[in-house]
Amino acid sequence: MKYLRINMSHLHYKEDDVPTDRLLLGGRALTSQLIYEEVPATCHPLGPLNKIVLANGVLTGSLASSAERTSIGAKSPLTGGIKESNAGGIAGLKMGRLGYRAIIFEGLRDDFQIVIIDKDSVRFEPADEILGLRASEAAQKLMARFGDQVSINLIGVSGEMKMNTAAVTNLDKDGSPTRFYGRGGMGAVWGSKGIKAVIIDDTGAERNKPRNRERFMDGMKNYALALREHPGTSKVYPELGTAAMVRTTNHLGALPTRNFSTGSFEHYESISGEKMRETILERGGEGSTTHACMPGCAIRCSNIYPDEEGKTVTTPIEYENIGLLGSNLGIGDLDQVVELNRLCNELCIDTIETGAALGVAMQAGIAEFGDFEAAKNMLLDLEKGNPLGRIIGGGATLVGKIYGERRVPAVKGQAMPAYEPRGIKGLGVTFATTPQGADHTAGQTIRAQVDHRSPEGQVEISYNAQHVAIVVDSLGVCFMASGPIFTKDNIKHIANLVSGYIGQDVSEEDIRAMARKCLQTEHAFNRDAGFTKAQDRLPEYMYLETNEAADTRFDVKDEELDKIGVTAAH
Amino acid sequence: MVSQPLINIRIQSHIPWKSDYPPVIQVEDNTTIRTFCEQIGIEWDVEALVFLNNQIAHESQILQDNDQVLLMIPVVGG
Ligand code: SF4
Repeated sequence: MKYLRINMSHLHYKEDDVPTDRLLLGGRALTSQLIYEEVPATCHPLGPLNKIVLANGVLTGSLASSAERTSIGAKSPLTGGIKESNAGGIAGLKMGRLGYRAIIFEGLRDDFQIVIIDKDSVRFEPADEILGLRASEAAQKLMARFGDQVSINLIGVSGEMKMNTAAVTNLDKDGSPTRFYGRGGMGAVWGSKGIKAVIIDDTGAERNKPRNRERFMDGMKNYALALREHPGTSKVYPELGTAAMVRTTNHLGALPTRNFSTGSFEHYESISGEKMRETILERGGEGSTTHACMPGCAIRCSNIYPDEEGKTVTTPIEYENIGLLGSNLGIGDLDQVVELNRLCNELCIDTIETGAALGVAMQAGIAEFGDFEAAKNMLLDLEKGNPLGRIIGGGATLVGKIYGERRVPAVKGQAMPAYEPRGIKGLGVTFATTPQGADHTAGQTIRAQVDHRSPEGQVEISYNAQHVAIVVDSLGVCFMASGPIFTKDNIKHIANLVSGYIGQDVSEEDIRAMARKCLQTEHAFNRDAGFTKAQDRLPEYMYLETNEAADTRFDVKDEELDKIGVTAAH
Repeated sequence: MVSQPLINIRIQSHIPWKSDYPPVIQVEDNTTIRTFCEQIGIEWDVEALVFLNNQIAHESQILQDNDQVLLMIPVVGG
């Protein structure tokens, strides 16, 4: 197992072996550790001292179900703190086959390059031919040039313009460039280093083999059983995808509506997972209600959304996108939500940050809530790099500052995902205190069978959930599998799986300790970057104004938040 | 043995594969929400997010006549 270091200033590369005491560091735990060790916390995120790391999870490459995820980590231009964002797709599998645990990009350049990594070398070619193109067209050209068996990581026009909303994407198993490392402006950091695309070609590389096959297979058997037995992974996700959440959050008063002003939307049924399933089945053609983003995923939470003729519009339509581009903008027409989602994918921008930025713009009177055409035009402005497009591309916090709007649903500069935190206070605690900025994948609490509107006990629930998130994000396991993994004592089977794969004895406690250390490291980076408890708060209006649908304000006490935030001794 | 009086519980399910319930189910007085769920084939805290009268239910809550139980899909979003 190796680390590959690529200096983009000089177009040099070198390889190092992964130290054996670091084999249990993958995904988020690895990106955060490397950024903490190698990046000055006070550096400019788009400057030469920042680095960006593409890291495989510990299990990525093993072909365990839903465990082929990769993380991208850097200092974020959006939050100014440490950031990790992860995706499914096929990059991890290819990287794993080439024997790389991580690729660390350093330096800075003004032009754009395609970086081609294969089993023998790393090459660089000018990217001029694909600059300015939409993601699907750029990916087609790259596949025509490098073949359709490679993985492609790519930024869009947003990353070329180094916008805060810029994401990095990679191909799903069917060649669609729609698996995003969405959050935190990671695409802008790629852009600052002159990386337009990274091609990973594993031709001729050997398949990865577990070091201890017997132990690995034993872990696999039990892990597969856990996925099959859990209703979330065996029934909910394959049938309805994450959009199954719409009814639940609406009922909890937590479906963000009209710039997070309330938590239930009068048209929620028309953008629900059930409605989406019905539409896809009715239209048929290329549409599919279930789809796997990577080979071997048994959960298949994704989908392919077709138009009325049955032709693919885009994939996948997720709960977060429906919440941010639908109810949050007062848009209750699924086809319109999907069209905004498609455009975000083509421009490689984070749907969450972009939906929130459009919501703040609507709140500020730039357009009416519910005005689909206006929302679409703002995205087209973003593509062209017009002044309004640049502002939207700067993210929700920037839009609020420029238009003098105080109701901005963001923490540490990063927009909230589709959970109104007054309706689910545990998630409010996560948004406030995670080093990652407002991010549901940093500590999801909605599944807890507790009163989500009560402030009591939420800090503890969030703190535990924050560790669960780090475990899955570091192992490379999809967040959708976290339910079964942390049900009963299934984590011990995961420890077995990891032990068998890397050939070291790894206990359940080792995995939990890795997560604790990662969280401490991320907070330490943010402290060094100047973060204080002032950043560990929700926006003021959520403390002062009632979310009518949930009939509550955010009232978890500051002292409680501070027990687990940036200034806490963990 | 004296049997407990029965109470009526209204039930609504948004879970497609757990939706085959009559609108009203009778249970013995003093039944907890958790026991009720187990009686209708729902594994507590695994198979459903359970609401009692529009609030998330706590497992030890005792059901009252005419209470409304709502079953929602248990997922973590994405
Ligand atoms: S559950 Fe969904 S997001 Fe996760 S690996 Fe499978 S298809 Fe991809």
